[in-house]
Amino acid sequence: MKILGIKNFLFSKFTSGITIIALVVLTSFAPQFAYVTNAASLTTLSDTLSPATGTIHAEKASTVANHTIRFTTPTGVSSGQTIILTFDNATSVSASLTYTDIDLQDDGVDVTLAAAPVTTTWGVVRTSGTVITFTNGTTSVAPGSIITIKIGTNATNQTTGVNQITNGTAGTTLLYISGTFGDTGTIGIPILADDVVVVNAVVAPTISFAVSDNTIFFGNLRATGNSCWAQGTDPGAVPCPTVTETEAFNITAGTNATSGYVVTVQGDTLTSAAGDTITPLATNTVPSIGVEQFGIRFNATGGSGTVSAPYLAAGYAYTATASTAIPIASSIGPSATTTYSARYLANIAPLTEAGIYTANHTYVDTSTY
Amino acid sequence: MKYFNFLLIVIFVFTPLSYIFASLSCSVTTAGTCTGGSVVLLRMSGSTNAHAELPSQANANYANNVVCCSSSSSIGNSCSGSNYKVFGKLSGVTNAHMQQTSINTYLNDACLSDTSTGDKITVGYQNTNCTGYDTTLLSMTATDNATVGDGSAYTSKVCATITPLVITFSLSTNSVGFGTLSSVSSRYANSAGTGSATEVEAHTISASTNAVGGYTITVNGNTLTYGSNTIDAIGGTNTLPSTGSKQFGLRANVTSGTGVVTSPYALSGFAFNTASLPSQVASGAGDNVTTIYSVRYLGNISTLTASGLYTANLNYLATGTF
Repeated sequence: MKILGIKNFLFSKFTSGITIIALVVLTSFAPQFAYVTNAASLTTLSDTLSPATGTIHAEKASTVANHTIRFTTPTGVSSGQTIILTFDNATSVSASLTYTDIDLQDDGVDVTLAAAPVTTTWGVVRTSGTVITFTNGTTSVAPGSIITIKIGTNATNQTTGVNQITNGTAGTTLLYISGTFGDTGTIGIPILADDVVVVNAVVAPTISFAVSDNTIFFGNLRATGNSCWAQGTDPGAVPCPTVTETEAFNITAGTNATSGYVVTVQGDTLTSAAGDTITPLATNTVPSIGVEQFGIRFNATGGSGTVSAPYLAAGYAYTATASTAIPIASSIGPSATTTYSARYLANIAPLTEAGIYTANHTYVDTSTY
Repeated sequence: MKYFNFLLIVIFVFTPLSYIFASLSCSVTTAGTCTGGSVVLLRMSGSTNAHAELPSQANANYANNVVCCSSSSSIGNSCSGSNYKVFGKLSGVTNAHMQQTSINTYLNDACLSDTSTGDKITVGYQNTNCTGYDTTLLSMTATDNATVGDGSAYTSKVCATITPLVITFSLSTNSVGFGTLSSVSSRYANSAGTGSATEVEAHTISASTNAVGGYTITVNGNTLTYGSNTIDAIGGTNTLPSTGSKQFGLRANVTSGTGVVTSPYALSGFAFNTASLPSQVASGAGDNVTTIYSVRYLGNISTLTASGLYTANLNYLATGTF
């Protein structure tokens, strides 16, 4: 009995080992779903959705979309046989959809469609809100042919489609393909609550603006000899230290504003404490000795900013007042830094009132985003 | 104990593995016991060397050997509707010989149908066993003019599988953002919309299918746009970030699963070419394994990029080939 007990124990272990080996072998070598389809199964089926004209959504729930349906029919489609498309998942075929909204290709060649089959023309009927039926005319589709069906605005043969199919609810929409041609198949189409990722970004506004000097000097103006131009350093009580056009200071401006910027100047002409003035030039005017003239002009370098009239030409002008700002430069869009070289001209007449004349000019840069 | 182990051996050696996880399970039994959701697909005059009759018939001598099937799906024996497969053709509605469907000279179809949404019925003929299928329906003496028997009677087996059609596709979020772009450092979009100075995941895409041809995922849309102003798409080749110039691109990694990212989105640089859209970004086999793709977006601007709130609408689309 003891020996028999050992044998039973050994047999039990042996069979347990076989059991484990059998499990391992079966698990390791069993084929993984190697399907063998029969002759009536459509192959290489797909339905690619695409956005309707003017939209971005394709697989969004309850949204219209174009369909491009492809499959290979092992059996072919004989004369008079039907191909039926049936959608589920609350998909809705437009009630207005007709053959004019559909293309059908046999191996890439468009066939002629109509409401009903006539000779070689296929008939197409929106059978219901979920079903479209195609009926072959008299031309057979060979076995192994690739059928392509376009539905929506992507259908351009004969006429361009207008009506489309509205997606069902979020989940999986199934498209059954059947009909008297005998082959069948099913396509799964994922439908999302929203199939678009919106990517947002901010480009922050930038603006740069600087004036190189806040005080410039003409020295003692004079009615004879040469015209006077302002300079950045104080010459003291000397007559017209600068007798050729010279940069008095510069203004730099730049921005990434979509509509660019405008630089304005505001302030009076040269004015004495007694209220006497040096007459400003109303239009761009060349210097003239012996007459009262006060004017400014600018040259622009760098960036895409430009000097505004009347300060761009070779002459001088000054049209701003203490209460009126006048544009002297601008850009029409984003601009790298532009340097505006400012030149100030002053001439006086023999009878110009003596005094200390001053002009306070305020420059402002405004961007439009 | 030894009998239990023997039983285990018998079960695992002689039962196809697919039975363990079968969506469809069939056996030959009596009509009286084929109840409770099970469906008779064929009636036979015996377990071997038998004639067959359609399930619509009710001859008593065919009641003791019926092909009885059950499934978690809604199966039936209808030969009409949108989802059925003929597994054999009979010479008559009863007292019939059987032939394989490809021969197609007998007029009476024996069918397996399924009204469950998306199920795929596969029927095939295989010698020796039905490995790779859910179950064995019956066996035949020949491909044509055959008598029939239960699954073990003859070498030529009639096999079937029901596979639920699966295609899943989702986006983790529908809105991502860079925050404020910079002309001196690259920015990367994140799901919070605030952006990051280092590359981060903006959102994920999940996809799977059991379609035989797998799936592809494409992207379509526009580059970052504000009115008439755009941030240039980085182009169709994988390009590294370059600060100070306008760039908008995307790339993806596979976080898990068997899918693969498509070139040019797979490398460490970024790509996006608006002149070539829609553009495939990923694909996967029909192995029913969910792949999670981690998507990253790059944004760079120049000093002169017009200020404003830029938006890009990117449509992601998955298509299965069944």
